[in-house]
Parts: sequence; structure tokens; C-alpha cells
Amino acid sequence: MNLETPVTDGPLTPAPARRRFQLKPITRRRWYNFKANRRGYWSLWIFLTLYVVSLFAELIANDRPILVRYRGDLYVPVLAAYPETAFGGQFETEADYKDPVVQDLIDRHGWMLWPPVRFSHDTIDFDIAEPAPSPPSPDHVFGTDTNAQDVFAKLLYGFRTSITFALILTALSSAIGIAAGAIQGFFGGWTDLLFQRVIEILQSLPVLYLLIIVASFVEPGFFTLIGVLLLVSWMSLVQVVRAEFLRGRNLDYVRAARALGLSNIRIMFKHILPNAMVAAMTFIPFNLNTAIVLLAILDFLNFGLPSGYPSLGELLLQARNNLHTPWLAISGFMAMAVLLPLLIFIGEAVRDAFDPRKAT
Amino acid sequence: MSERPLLDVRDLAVSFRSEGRIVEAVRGISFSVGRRETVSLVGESGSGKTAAAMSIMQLLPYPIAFHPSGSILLDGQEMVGADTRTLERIRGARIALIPQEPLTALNPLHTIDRQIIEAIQLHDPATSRRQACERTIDLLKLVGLRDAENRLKSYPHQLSGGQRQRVMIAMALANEPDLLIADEPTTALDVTVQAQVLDLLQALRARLGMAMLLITHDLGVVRKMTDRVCVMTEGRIVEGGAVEEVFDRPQHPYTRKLLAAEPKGRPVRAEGDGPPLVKADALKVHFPIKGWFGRPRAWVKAVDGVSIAIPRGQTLGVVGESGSGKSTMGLALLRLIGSEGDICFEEQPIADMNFKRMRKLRNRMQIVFQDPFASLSPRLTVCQIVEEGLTQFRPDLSYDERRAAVRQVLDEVGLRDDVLDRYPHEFSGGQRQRIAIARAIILKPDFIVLDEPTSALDMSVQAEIVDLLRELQVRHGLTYLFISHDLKVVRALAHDLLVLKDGVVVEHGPADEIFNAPRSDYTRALISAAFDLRARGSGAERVPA
Repeated sequence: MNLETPVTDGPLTPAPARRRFQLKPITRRRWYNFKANRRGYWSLWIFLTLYVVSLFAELIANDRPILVRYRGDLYVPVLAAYPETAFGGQFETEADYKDPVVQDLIDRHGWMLWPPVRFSHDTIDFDIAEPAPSPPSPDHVFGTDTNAQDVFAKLLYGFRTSITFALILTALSSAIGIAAGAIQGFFGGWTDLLFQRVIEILQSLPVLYLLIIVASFVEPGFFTLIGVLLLVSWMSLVQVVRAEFLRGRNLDYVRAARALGLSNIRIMFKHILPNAMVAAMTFIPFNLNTAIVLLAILDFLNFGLPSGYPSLGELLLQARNNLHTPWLAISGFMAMAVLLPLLIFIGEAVRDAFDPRKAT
Repeated sequence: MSERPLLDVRDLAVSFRSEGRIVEAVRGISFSVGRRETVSLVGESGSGKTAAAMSIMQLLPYPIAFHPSGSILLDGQEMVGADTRTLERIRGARIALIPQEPLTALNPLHTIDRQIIEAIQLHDPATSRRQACERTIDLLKLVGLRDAENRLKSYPHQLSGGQRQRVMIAMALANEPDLLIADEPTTALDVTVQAQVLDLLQALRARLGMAMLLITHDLGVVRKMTDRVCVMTEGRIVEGGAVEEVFDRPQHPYTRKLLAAEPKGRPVRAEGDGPPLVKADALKVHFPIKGWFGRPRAWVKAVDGVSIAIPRGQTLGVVGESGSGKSTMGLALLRLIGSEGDICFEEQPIADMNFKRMRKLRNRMQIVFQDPFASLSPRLTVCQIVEEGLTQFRPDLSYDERRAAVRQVLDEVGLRDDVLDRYPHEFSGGQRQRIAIARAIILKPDFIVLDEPTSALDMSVQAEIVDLLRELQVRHGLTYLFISHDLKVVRALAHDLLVLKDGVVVEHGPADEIFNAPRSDYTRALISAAFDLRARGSGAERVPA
């Protein structure tokens, strides 16, 4: 069945002058479709709010005051380290603002502005009433973990680490994956054949096993871990982008570009890539999810980030080791249970936005 | 006609909801179809004729589509707003539809007998499988499918386009409908097949005593097939009546425009002396069919030993059915696909040049494709599309100079310069084809391959594009390779003619000679299919209604 769509023929209404930052009509339509998925739209806002808030975690949960006024001078301990002597103390080392002596010194000649939670993710609270891990109390709303560290602060900082890690990993692996898929699809033939076999071999390797081996002879750090995970995660977008390029290289307007004598690079970037990006964009929120889960798994297995990093996986590991402390399990679980569906909802909305059938 | 008409459409309107707007596709049309009568709806794409026809069967995408007004009476039964059960009883049994695209209308995963038997049993569950099977064979014989018994178990992809359309017709006839709606039944088919299918429909209609509503943009088809015609434009019927009356004494300016829209004129004689601009010797394009381990099992000979020479400023028309290798030959001449044999451009052999060296010659040879909807990148503005070649070959030009050049060339192809920053989807097919031509000529090439540039366009637009191409040829001394299956268009442009069949040259010579005295049966068949469709009374018998 063919339904002819009415086509505007004859005189067109004069084109509005396009400003530099005006959205293209297609982009505007996609944004409209994205917004039409209310769940995804709100998920995006909740996610962005949470992430932006977690970026300023130092101002929310910290063992240093945000602002100190001492003898008429202003100090910003969140940003800079001041020796105790600056506040009239005895030690040359950095001031410990939790120390009642230091607090007393400062209070006498000024004031301190504390963040709402007075513990950072690595602050050990020696004053807890019960042995660690201690249950929720007015001081520690989510309780403390086995190291007497505040669980709320850990969640906040861990959330930030997870998202940042996942964002960087996804961005890098998407870039590599799109480039590889583009080359394979565009050139086809032997290039494609070889690349495909390499990917198949890589994909058949057990990822976690490989990472555990690699982690045993590489000192895991934030960026080394990204590097290692990149080895196994760059393939995720290759197939979709490759398929788009295989299709795209035979389209008439690509042929026309070739007939105009355009170089391969230009044809790839200007004519085919925008189409392939639609397919790729749809996958990216889901890849972000995978990256977060992957990091949590590695942390849980103790092959992830070094111990200084706050992480959701480590919290879950502690919860497993201390089955009598439900506050650890519940907070770790809730963090994942909120974060992962948010990204899935966003992903669904993105898929709607790029769905050509919703175009009209 | 005193008796009640079979189908009576009164004041029908169809609107579509789209992005918060309402698009009025049909704005209050009235027509009727009597028993055993053939009525056609004629109009260009976008005139609302398909929407009108689809609403008769209530097959529009409700509730996106809706009827602000109107009634459709089939034998006194109201169709607008009828409940699903009633509609299901009527669809397929009393009204049948032959869709436009035979290539996609059949389920590719089912054999054809299964699809026809399903249609039979759906409306008459009492039929046994055996009876249904016999009836299917009868139907397939009726629609002239050769070797019907053995083809029962074929899948759609094993049949050609014409055969598939025959199967679709058989399926539509399965329950002996009173009314057959044919929506551009031949548009997707080759010219020769087109004539056969039309003859078949005509004969079947007379034999089975059906009424037929034919939707088409081709006035030749209307003349050949129908008793009465309704001319539609912009959702309204502007003129209706008996075919002879409307065609011989058109009242409405739009009808006159449609009737005057056939490609006219003849190629302008150019000086045909001097060395040929483009020359190919024993050109071959063979595609391997891969067997085990990539060893070619066989070869598809898309183009097999074609030799041509086109003098500067002239047009070589290439005609043949689909699959005859016309387009492949065009691409091979521009070195866009691999080929064997010598190709010379201005006496310079280019067959062995690599991609890099060819790029330097690309500004001299260009191509315009068939489908103007596929050949323009949807994400670039018109200016970006047209200036692309300039950015490649004239890097010395500034942004403003490029825009000025684009403006000039758009003016030359008849587009106003306020289109520069628009996107292709805002244009109609004809306007898009003009943009594609602008892209091709902005580099001032010598040689342009025109790969069916008019066949995706409406009739009246075709004529405009042909005129434009001829004008450009004269002004710039362009050399064309004009590929088409439509001989009417070819006759208006080509100096020489090359008839291809299965990759082999059937006939080659001056166009006039071939048109006046075709030597091979194949050429004769092509010519009669193209011209006799419109020649009233000659050859095609008119079945009395």
C-alpha cells in the first residue's frame, strides 16, 4: 500500500533566516520525540541532577569545612590544605578539623561552615557508638561500613566514580568502535573479512577471566583499568556501524559524491557517518549501563579500582561479607537499582527519538 | 445509468494528523462507479488519489487518518465507520485491491499457492483444501501465468515483477469481487510487461463482469483502459466525464496541462564531427557468483561486449528492460564500477587509471541518478549539496564565491535562490531532480550520464526536465548518455540509440532510423509497448462496457 504524502510544490514560503545555533528541523523533531517519552525525559533530568550533584560531592560530604573564618581571614579547606599552625595550633601538618582542639581554636577567633555531612568517603569515624559496621544513626544516616566510613559519603563518591568511569570508557570505546565499523563497512572485502575474524576471536574470550589475568600483572588504576576494559568493549558498536556503512556506500547520494571525485574520508564523514550515528546513538546509553555494571563486578571481585577509590562494587562486597548488616546491602542495591533503570529509560527515549517511523 | 451505482462516493474528505497539524489529502470528492464500468482517477503524486481509493476499503491508518465528511456507499452499504466485521466481509470478497508494488505486496516467506488459498478460504471456509488448490490453478491460468501447476510452490522471489503482479491479480480475483481497485498496477513494471498486464486486466474485467477503479498518473493507460475519468488535483476532482470528452475537450486548465505534458520536441542537431568525446570498446562488466571458498562459480554478464562512441555535444540514448545492463554500463563508463575493455575520454584511455588519477577527471564527467529522493543526502542543505564539487575542485573559491556560483547554477536549472539553505525533504520530486542536475553541472562537465532521470517523476514534470536537459545541452555543448526504459523520453533527446538486452547490444544506430524501421523483434516490442499504449484505437482493442 502506498500512501502518497502531500508534497509542497510550486512557490515555497520564504525560508526563515537560519541562525547559527538554530536546531536543524530533524534535530528539533528528535528532541520533540525524546520529550514525548515522558519517562525517559524525566529520567534524563533526574540522572543529570544526580550526576551534577555528585560532581560537587566535596561540598556535601567532607571531613573539612567549606569555609573557615579565622582572625578576619577567609580559608577554603575544601580546596586547599592549611597547616594547623595557621589556626594557632602546634603541628606543621595539615589541620584536622574534626579534632576538638582545632575546632576550639577556630571557634574562638572565627567560625566554620561545614558541609551537611561531615564525613568524606575515606574518613574513619573513631567515635561511633557501636563496633563497625555500625547501623544508621543521626551521625551516619546510612550507617557505616566495616572501616567505620560513612556509607552515604561512599555512595555519593562511588556514584561519581562509576558514572565518570563509564562515561570515559563509553566515549572511548564508541570512538574506536565507530571508526573500526566505518572502515570495515566502507571498504568491505578483505578488510572487512579480517576485522570480523579478529573481533570474533576477541569476543569469544571470556572477558572477566581475561581481566583477572591482566589485573594480576598490571597495577590497576583508574586509567589502566579503562585501558584494559577498552580492549574488550570497543567491539560493541562495530556491528551496527559496519552494517550502516555497508548499506550506505551503495546509496545513490554516496555514488554521486564519488562521481564528484570526493575522497573516501570525506564521503565517510560527511555522507555516511551521520546516518550511522543514528544507530550508534541508540546503543550508547545501554553501553553506559554495561560499563557501570562491569566496573561494579570487577570491584566486587576485588580486581577493580585500587582500594582508595570509593566504589559501589566494593560496598556490595562488604555487604556480602557482612550479612548481618542490611544497611550496606540495601544502600548498595538501591544505588544500582536507581541508576541502571534511569539509563535504560533514557536509552528507550533516545531510541524513540531516532525512530524513523515516529518521524511524522 | 438508471440503476443504483455499485459504488457511490459522496463529498468524501480525508485528512491526516501529523505533528499537531492536519493535512487535508482529499477535500470533498464525489464520484460513482457503475456495475461493469471502469472509472479512473488521474492525478499527479500528492493529489490524493491513493488516499481516496484506500478509504473505499477503509484501509487508511486510522486514527491518524480520518474523514471529516463524506459517505462511501457500496451497494447501499455505508463503508465509512462500518465495524470491523462488516469490513472484513467486504474486503477481498466484494472489493479487491491490486497494490502498486508487486515486489513487496507478497509475503516473501510463503509460497504463492498458500497465499492464494488463504484468500479463498478466508471468505469461504467451507472450501476444502483440494477445491481451493484447483481453484488456485484455475486462477493462475486465468491470469496467464505460464506453467501454473509447477509454479504453485514457488516463492515470490522466484518470480519476475510481471509474474508477481499476475499472482497479485489472481489473489484479488480469488473471490470474484464486484469491484477491483487497481492502484497504479503497472507503474513498477517494465514497459513491455506493463502492456501485457493492462491487456490482461482489460480482458479479465470484461470476462468476469467486474467494475474497476483504476488509479494512475499515466494518461495513456487511462485512454486505453477506461470509460470515465476523474481528474484530481490537490484533493479535489476538477473535471470528470467520459474519457473521449475530457481528453478531446478539456475544460479545466489543470487537465489541459496534464494533456499537454508529454515529452515533446526532438533533439537539436549538433555538429557530429570530430573525434568522439567518449568511446568504449568491447566493454564488459561481469559479476562473479561466488561458490565455495570464494571461487567464482559462474558470472553474471551484466554488460557483455558493448562498443560505443559518442561525439561531443550529442546524446546517446540507451534503452532496454530492467536488468538489461543499462545502468551498469553507465557506471562502468564513469569508472564507478570495475569493468573490462577500453574506455577513452577525449582520446585518453581511462580504463586502467586508478582511483586517485580518476579523481582529477571527475569534474569533466558527471552522473544524475534515477531516484531524486535517494540521490540527495537528507542531512545537507541544498547549498551544501550543490557546492560539494566546488569544494573539491576549486579550493581557491571563498565561501561567498561558492554561494554565488551555486545561486547561478540553481537559477540555470530553474530554482529560485531562496532555496539555498533548505533541506531536500522540502522539495517535490521534480525540484529535487533539478537540484541533482545543478550538482552535476556546477563543475561545467563535458559528459553527463543521465540514469533514468525522469522515470521517478510525474508526467508533466518529466516534460519539464527533458526540456531543461535539452536546453542545457545546447547552451553548454554537453554530451549525454541518456539511459531510460521510456522510449517517449528517449525520442525527445537522443541523437543515437543503443538497444540493450541482457547486456548485449541488440541494435545501435541513429535514433530516427531505429524508431522508423526497427530491425529486431525486441526493439519492435519496446516501441509498440511505449507508443501504442497511447495511440487510441490502434492495436489495443477496446472492450465494450
